[in-house]
Amino acid sequence: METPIIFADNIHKRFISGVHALRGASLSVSQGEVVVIIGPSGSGKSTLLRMFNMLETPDSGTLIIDEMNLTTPHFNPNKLRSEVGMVFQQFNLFPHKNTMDNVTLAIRLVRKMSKGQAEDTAKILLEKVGLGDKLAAYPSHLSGGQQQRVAIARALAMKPKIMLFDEPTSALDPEMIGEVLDVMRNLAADGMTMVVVTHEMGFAREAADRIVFMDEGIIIEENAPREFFNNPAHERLKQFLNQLL
Amino acid sequence: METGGKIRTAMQGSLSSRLLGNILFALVIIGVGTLIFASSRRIEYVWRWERVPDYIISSVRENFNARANGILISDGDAVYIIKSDGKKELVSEKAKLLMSEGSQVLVGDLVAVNKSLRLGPLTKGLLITLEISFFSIIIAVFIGIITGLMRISPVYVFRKLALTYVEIVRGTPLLVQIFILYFFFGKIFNMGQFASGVAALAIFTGAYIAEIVRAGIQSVHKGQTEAARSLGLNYIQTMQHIILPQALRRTLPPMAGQFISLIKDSSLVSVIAITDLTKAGREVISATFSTFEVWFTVAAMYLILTSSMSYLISRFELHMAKAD
Repeated sequence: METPIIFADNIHKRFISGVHALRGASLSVSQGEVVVIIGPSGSGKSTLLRMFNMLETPDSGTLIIDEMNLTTPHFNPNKLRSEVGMVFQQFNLFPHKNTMDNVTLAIRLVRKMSKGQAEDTAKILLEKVGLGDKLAAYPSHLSGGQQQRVAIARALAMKPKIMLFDEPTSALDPEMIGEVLDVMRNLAADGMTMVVVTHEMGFAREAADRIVFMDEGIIIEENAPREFFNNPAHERLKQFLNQLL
Repeated sequence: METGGKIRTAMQGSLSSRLLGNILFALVIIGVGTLIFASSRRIEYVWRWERVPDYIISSVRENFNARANGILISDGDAVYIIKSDGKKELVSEKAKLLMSEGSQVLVGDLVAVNKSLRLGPLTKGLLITLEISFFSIIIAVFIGIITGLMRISPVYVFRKLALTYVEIVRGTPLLVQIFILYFFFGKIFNMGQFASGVAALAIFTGAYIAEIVRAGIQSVHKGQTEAARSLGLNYIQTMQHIILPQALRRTLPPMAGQFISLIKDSSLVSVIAITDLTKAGREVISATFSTFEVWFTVAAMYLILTSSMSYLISRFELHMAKAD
C-alpha cells in the first residue's frame, strides 16, 4: 500500500477552555481520495480538519502530511499551508479586495507570481467555478454561494495537493448549496485529494470514496458510502443516521 | 387619553421639524450671547476688536524719501531719481510712486511707498501649532501602530513592554510629561524645545492610538487571519495586506478624535517656550491688554484647525467607503 498523503495517528487536543475536542483520533487519506467526515456537533470533526492545515496543533499524536512531520518542534506551518487549501464555513473572503485580488493575493505574495500571470490563473479558475463575469465585484456584492465559489477558486489558485472543506455549505441559503456542491463534485472528479466536513449526506453518498463518522473526539466508524449508509455497525452511528432521515 | 396622545404626537412632530429647531437654536444662542454681553458691560471692559486683525495679518507701509534732488522716474516696480548730473539714484527696488513720473523732487520729499502684508504673531503661532501637530501626528501614528501590534503579539515581552508604556503614559499628566521630556531627556539627548515638544505629544498620543489600533485589529474577524494564514501568508504579510487595512479603516473615527485632541493638547508645549498659538496669544495680551479679544481669537483659530481636521478625515472616510 502506498504511503498516505495524510497520516494522523492517536491525535489528542484539549483546548484552554477545557474542552477535550480530540481523544485519540486516527485517520489516513490516500492521494486522490475524497473523504467525508460526518458527526454530531462537538464531535471534533472541524478540529481534526483544522489540524491538517495547522490552524490547530495537536497536544499529542503523530501527524504527517505530504511527507512533512507536523509534530516536529518549531515546524514552520507556511510550507504546509501553501500545499493545503482550506475552504471555510463563513467563506472568509477579504472584504476590502475584489474577486480578482482575493484570488491573486496569495499566489503573488507566496508563489511570487507576476501580476499578469496571476491574473491569467485567476481568470481560468473563476471561469471554472462559473464566476468569470464577477472579476471586479467586491465580496459584499456577491451572494453566499458566489462568495464560497470565489473562496474555492482562491484556495485552488495555490495549486494545493489537498483541499480541506470545513462545512462549506452550512452558512448558505438552501438554493445556493447546489452550485457550491457542483464545484466540489467537479473537483473530486478531477482527482483532487479532498477532506470534507459536511452535513450534506447526498454529497457524501455520491462523491465520497470513504465516509468517516466521528463522535466525542474519536473516529468510530469508516466505510465506503454504500456500506456506511446501508450497514452501519455502531449503535451511535445508527442513531445519528436515523435522526437525519 | 386620546387627546393626550394626539398632543404628544403633535409636539413630537413640531419638535422634529428642522426649521423650528433652527429658529429655537438661534434664539438660544442670541439669548446666551446677550446675557454674556450684558454681564461683560458690568465689568467696564473696553473692547478693542479693531486691534485684533493686525495680530493676524498686518499691512506694513514702508515710506521712501528722496535722498537727492532730481527728477522722479519709475522703471517697472523700481523707483529712481535722475540727478542733475544725469546719474540714476535708486530710491526703492519695489514701491509705488506718490507723485507723477517726471516730477521735480527735493531731498527729503516723500516720493514712494510700498505696502506689504506681514503675518501677525497669532498667525505665526498658528503655523507653529500646525507644524508641531503635523510632525506629532505622523510620529504618533507610527508609534501607535507598532505598539498596538506589540499589545497583541504572541511574544510575551512585547506585550508587557507595550502595556507598561501605555499605562505609564495614560496614567501621568501630559504637562508633567512635557516637563520631563524637555528638562530631563532634552538635557540628556540634547534636544531643543521643538523636538522635545513634538516627542512629548507623539509619545502621549501614541499610547492612545495604540489602544485604538489594538481594538481595531481585534475587531477584524478571526476568520480573516485564518483564511490568510491558510493560504500560506506569513504573519507580516497577513497583517500588512489583510488585517491592518481593515482595522485602520474602522479606527478612522476614533483616530480623528485623537488627532483633534493632539492639536488642542499642543497648547501645553507653550510652557517650554515654544511660541505656538497659545504662547503667541499670551505675548499679544501682555503687549495690548486685550485679554478677552485675543483669547476668543485664539480659540477661533484652534477651531479652524480642528474642524479642518474633522473635515479632512470625513472626506477620507467617504473615499474609503467608496472602495467597497
